[in-house]
This record gives sequence, C-alpha cells and structure tokens, in this order.
Amino acid sequence: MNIFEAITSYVVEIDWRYFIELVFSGLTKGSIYALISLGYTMVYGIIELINFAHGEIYMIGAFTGLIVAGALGALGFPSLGILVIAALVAVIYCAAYGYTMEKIAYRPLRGAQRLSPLISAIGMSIFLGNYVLNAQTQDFVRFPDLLPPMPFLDPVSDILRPSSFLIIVCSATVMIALTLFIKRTRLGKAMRATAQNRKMAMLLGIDADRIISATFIIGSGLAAIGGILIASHTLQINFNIGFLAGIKAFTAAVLGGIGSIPGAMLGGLVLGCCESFAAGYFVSDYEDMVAFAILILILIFRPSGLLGKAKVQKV
Amino acid sequence: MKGLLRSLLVSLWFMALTFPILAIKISPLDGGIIWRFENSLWLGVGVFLLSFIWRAMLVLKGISTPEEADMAGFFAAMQKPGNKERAIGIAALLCGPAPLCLTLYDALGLPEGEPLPFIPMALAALFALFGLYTAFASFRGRRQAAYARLAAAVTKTGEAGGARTALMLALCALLLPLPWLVDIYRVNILATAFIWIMLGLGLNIVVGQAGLLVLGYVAFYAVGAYSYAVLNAAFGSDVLGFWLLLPVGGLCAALAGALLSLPVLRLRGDYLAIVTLGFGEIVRITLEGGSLSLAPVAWLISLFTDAPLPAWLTAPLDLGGPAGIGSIPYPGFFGLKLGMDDSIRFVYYIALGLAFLTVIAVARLRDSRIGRSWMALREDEIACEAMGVNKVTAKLSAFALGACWAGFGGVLFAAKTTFINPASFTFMESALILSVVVLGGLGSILGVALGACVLILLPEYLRSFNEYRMLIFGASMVIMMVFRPQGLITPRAKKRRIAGVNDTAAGAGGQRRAA
Repeated sequence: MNIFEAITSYVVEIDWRYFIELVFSGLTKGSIYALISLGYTMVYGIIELINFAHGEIYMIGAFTGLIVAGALGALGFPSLGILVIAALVAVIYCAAYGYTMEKIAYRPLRGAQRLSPLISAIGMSIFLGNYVLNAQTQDFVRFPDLLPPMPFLDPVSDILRPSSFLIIVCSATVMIALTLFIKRTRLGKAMRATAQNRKMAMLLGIDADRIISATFIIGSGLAAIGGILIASHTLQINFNIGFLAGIKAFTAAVLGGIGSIPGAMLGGLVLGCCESFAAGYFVSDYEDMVAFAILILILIFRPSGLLGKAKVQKV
Repeated sequence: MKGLLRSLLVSLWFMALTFPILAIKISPLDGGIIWRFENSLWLGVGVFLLSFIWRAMLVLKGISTPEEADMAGFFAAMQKPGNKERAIGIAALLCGPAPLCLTLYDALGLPEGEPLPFIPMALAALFALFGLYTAFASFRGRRQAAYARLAAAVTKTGEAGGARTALMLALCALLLPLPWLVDIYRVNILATAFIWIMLGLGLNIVVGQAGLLVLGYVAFYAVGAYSYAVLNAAFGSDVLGFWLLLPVGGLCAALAGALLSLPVLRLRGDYLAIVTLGFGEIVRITLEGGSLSLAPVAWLISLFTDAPLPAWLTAPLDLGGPAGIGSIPYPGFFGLKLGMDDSIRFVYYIALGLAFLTVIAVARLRDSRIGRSWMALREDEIACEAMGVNKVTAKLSAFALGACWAGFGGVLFAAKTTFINPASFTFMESALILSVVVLGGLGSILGVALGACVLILLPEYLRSFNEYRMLIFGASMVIMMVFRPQGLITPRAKKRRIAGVNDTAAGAGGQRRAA
C-alpha cells in the first residue's frame, strides 16, 4: 500500500459528520471566547492592564439577563421579545458596571506601581463574584429557553443546534460592527490613537480618560452579549462561570496577540476549535486543560501571539 | 451643598446599578418574582455615607483636589482651628465601640453552651478604650500630646523590661499550654492559622520580596498534601511516615516551583500572574482526573538501565479523583499510638513549631544575599541585572523557596484533616493566601503573620462576618491598593532605608554647608 492509498483510506475513515459537528461546537464556544477576549484586548491595548474582573462582567451580564427574562416572563411577554429586551438591558447594565469599575478600582491607580492595578483587579473580581453569590444564590439557576423554533435548521439539527447558530451569527455581526466602528468612527480613531501612543494622543486633544471609559463600556457590553448568548445556549448559569470563561478568553486574547482586535477574534475561534477537537477526539475530562496548555506554550514560544507585533522593551 | 448632591447622585447610581441583582430574585420553585427593595435602600444609605469618606480619602491621598471632589467647603472648614480635632473626636467616638458592639451582637446569637469569644471581645474592648481616649483628648484639643504620652508610656515599659523578650515569653506562655485549655475544635482552628502563617510567609517570599505575582500558589500546597497522602498510601506509615514525608513534600513542592519558574523566567508581572494561575488550574484538573502516570519518568530510567522497574513507577498513581483521598494517618509520635484529641494537639505543636521556624527562616532569608537580590529584582529588573545580580538564580530560588513552605504546609494540612480532595485547592484558596499577603503588607513578616491570624480566626469568632468574608476581602484588596499599597504594616527594611537616605542627605547637606 503506497502512501497515497494510506492517506485516502484515512480520509475516508474520518467521520465527516462528526468532524463538522465538532467544528460547529468549537465555533460556538470560540465565538463566546472571542466576544469576551475583545474586552481584554482593548483594555490591554490602551492601559496595559489585565482586567481580571472582565469575566465577572460576563457573568453579571448572564445574571442580569436571567433576572430581566424572569421578571418579563412572569408578566407574560412573548419569548423572542423577552430575549431581545433582556439582552439590551444586560448590555446597558454591564456597560455601566464596566464604567463604574474603572472609576473605582483602576482610575485612582493610574501611574501606580505595576502590580497595584493587577491586585486591585483581582480584588474586584473576587468582590463581584461574591456580590452575585450573596445577593442571588450559589446554585446553578435555570435560564428559560427563549429561542424561537428555526425550521430551516431541521436538516442539520443533529450537528447544529439553533442556539449555536444564533451564537455564531450574532457574534459575527457584533464583531463586524465593532471592526467598522473602530475603523470608521471618530471615537474608534481616537481609541486607536490612544492605544498607539497615549501621550501623543493627549497632545492632539484627545481626552484619554474619556477614551479609557469608552473602552471599558464597549468591552463590558460585548461581554454582556457573550453572557446572554451562552446562557441561552447552556440554559443554566451560576456565579462562578465568569472565572473559567475569563481565563480562557484571556488565553484567546494572548493567542491572537494581546492588543490586537482581529487577533482576539481569531484567537477565540482557534481556541474554541482546539478545545472542541481535544474533547471530541481525545479525553473530555481534560478539556479545560487545553486552554492553559496553549496559554503556557504561546507565552513561551511566541509571546506576541498570532497577529500581534513583538514589542521591543526599552530601558 | 454640592458635595451632598454628588453623594446623593452616586448613591442613586449605585442603587440603579445593583437593582436587578440586589432587589429582584426569581424564585427557583415557581418562577415568581421576589422583590427585595430593602436591600436597595440599605445599599443607598451605605453608599451615600461611603461616598463622602471615599472622596475625602482621595483628597487626602492627593489623587484629586478638594474642588474636584466637591469637598472644598469641608476641607476649608477643617482648616479652622479646633474643627479638625472635633471631627476626629466624633469619628473616634463612632468607630471605637463599633467592633465591640459587633462582637457583643454576635455573642448574643451563639447557641447555648458555646464558650464566649473572649479574646476578640477583649481586643474590641481595647480598641473601644483607645477610641474613647482619642475622642476625649481631641475634644480638649490635646490629641497630639495625648498620643505622645501614650507612645512614651509604651516605649518606657518597652525599654524598662526588655519588652521584646517579655512579649515573646508571654506569647509562649499563652500558646504552649493552650491545647489543654481550650476545646479541641479551637485547637484545630489555631493549627490551621499556623499553617496559613506558613503559607502567607511562603507566598510573601515570591510576591512581597521578589515582586513576582503568583496566582497559583495553592498548587504547591496541593503538591505537598498529595505527596504525603499518595506516598503514604503507597508505602505505608512504617516505610514513609510523616516525619520522612514532611521534607519530601517540601522538596516536591520546591521542585514544582523550580519547574514552573523555568518557562516563566522571561515573563513580566501580569503574564506571570496568568501563567501561574493556569498552572494552578492544571494541577487541580490533574488531581480531579484521578491518576498521574509516571510513565515518562519510567521511560527515561529505562533508557539507562535494563533492571526491571518497581511497580509504583510503571503503574499510574491513584490520586483519588474528585472524591479525594481519605484515612491519611496523623503524624506518628515516637511510635506511640495517640488518640484523636492528642493527635490534633500534637499537630498543633508541630504547626506552631514550623510556623515559628518559618518566621525565623524568612527573616534570615530576607537579610541574606539572596534576599537582597530578590528585593533588587522587585524594584527594577533591568537595573538589577545591570548590577550583576543573576536574574535566573534569583527568580528560581524565589519560586523554589516560596513553594517549599507551601509544601510543608500541605503535608501538615493533609496530616491534620486526614482527608484531602481537589476542592480544597481551588483558585479561591490562592486568592485568600494572596489577600493575607496584601492586607498584611507586601514584604512584612509581622504583617503577614497577623493577616493570616485575622483571616482564619475572624470568621470563626465572628459568625456574622463569615458569610460576607470573601466580599469584604475582595473590596479591601481594592481599597488597600488605592489608598495603602504598602499594606497595613510597612516592612521594617523600608523604614530603615528611608531613615538612612534622609540621614546621608542631611549629612551631605551639612558637609556642603560647612565647606
């Protein structure tokens, strides 16, 4: 048997249906990671801070959505309307949380030692997680199934769930909108300028504090969309989902090159697919380990990530 | 007036912000809405008051000006003679008795037959007395003089009786007979507090002294605990008992620390934090996975020798999975068989001794050559390298030595609880150890020891505090970083160094003037 035959026999042996199912599940997870990692990467691009509490914002988004959905459901709204309103409210609230968090925990620390903002961010993360734990519950809560039926997905229903379809479509739309926003609008240009050189941007009349606030608001809003989408996919949430999602999204940001917006999107999708393949073809117990292994490997061998530019550290 | 309005707006903002999560709860049973408006109301009142304090603190720290904080009127009023003293007096009168009230309130809720928490009550009473003293002196306008008198009295007794020795003796006299005076539950908690002192001091080497933020410290703790449990289960107490495995556990953890430090040598502060966090999670997931294969090691050995390998090297080690490992033996006491109570007392003494040793070792390390190089590394990595300090050695030794204490602590923890599972080694534990170090003061030994005691003992004695423990720690980490990044107790070396700088500067100035 020559090598060509060996390869063709292997290719034929692959269960393509299963493979595509894994790709879809990877893209589903990856889109969520991408949405969260955008917040990390934008904040890091501007103030070089790993906003540890970003994962908690995502969790708060899911919880706010759940509460709003529950309240509207009790009032008897139609389910699609509930989903849209809950998502809107969650985005607005999370944006407000992001803004407030920056004002309290990070703004007074501008220009402090490098470790201080990081420890402050960890404190903020612990605080927010336990705030939801104390105010709500520590158990998993059921999220209502609000998705309308999608009959056009019936032929592929065994490999692509409606919620996965929604996640992939929504996050693609949001990411395209964000890219256009960053590229085209005045605020987007100001953000890019501040990320490139804050001092120079300030000299040109850009209010850096306002830009930083805007970054936190946009990043938190994106995380809220991620939270609502994942809640309507897994249908259960608890106060602890932000921790793991936050770390993985950070991994995605590093994988794509931290500070780079297309990098964060690519990193999220790649990470999601890696996890999905690892769980599908190897052992599913160690699925969570993939992200950490990738993180450590990428930081050792290519710290600038897939799309990032290597920075020269000047003394 | 403007300040009042601003506080009102801030409090309304926070009430709106927290409204869905704080005031609404969806009943898990029937999906009905439970309204909890009283939560929002309390939060509003609290934020209204805190907003004043927060802004005043920002002004005092020089982060914002009185005008920016809308507190110009307040600070102008404070300038008038007597007003500041009066304000301090009122604050002391309000804050002083607060902890006492809290402990008394807590004591009321204790079940029948529980001993009253005398030590915290005594401390709270002492604090209340100090508050009253301050208030009294302030209203008479003699606060500074009163403090000076108090400080003079303390130093005088200190100089007269060799206060340090007396304090140490008193501490020994208190701690040594304690296991026979209080019930065994309390002894257990105290032993936990000593283990936490070791953990805090170990992490303090890495974070406080070398300035490397490690978020997966609990992994080394887990390595220590599991190396005791697994090796003991595999070989039996006769071959590998507690006393042999205590150094082995420390060594394993140190090895893990050194291993981790190799790939992260090049990483800067924040990346390092995340990678160590990932490492901690990897260790936890491995433990939950349930088995660890030493096959790669066996393969390596088989390259060099043809001798048949022992079974424990080729077969995967059983880690117990999520259920953990149970029936771990207590430490042996010269072959005698101790009862459960006596075993816990024995663990208490071991923990006390080890904590004491840790304090001495860490203090000696700090003043050693390697300790100095850690400090240099913390202050400026590039300058430190330029001055000829070997960065690799310094980082490696900081990781290994810091991890080593966690390993000792882990072995002791496994021996104390006789049962371990991965749930004891989550990120929350790492965060708790970090908050011990941060609250106590990065780099300060006394501060870390006090922080560990407070962190472990306070929730046990103050039950109303227990529920909101992590909430308060999270908030206080933020507050500490904003207002007092050096911790509650400033490290000794720093004080001395600043005094030295001032002396030489004054000396140089004097010489110049003389010339």
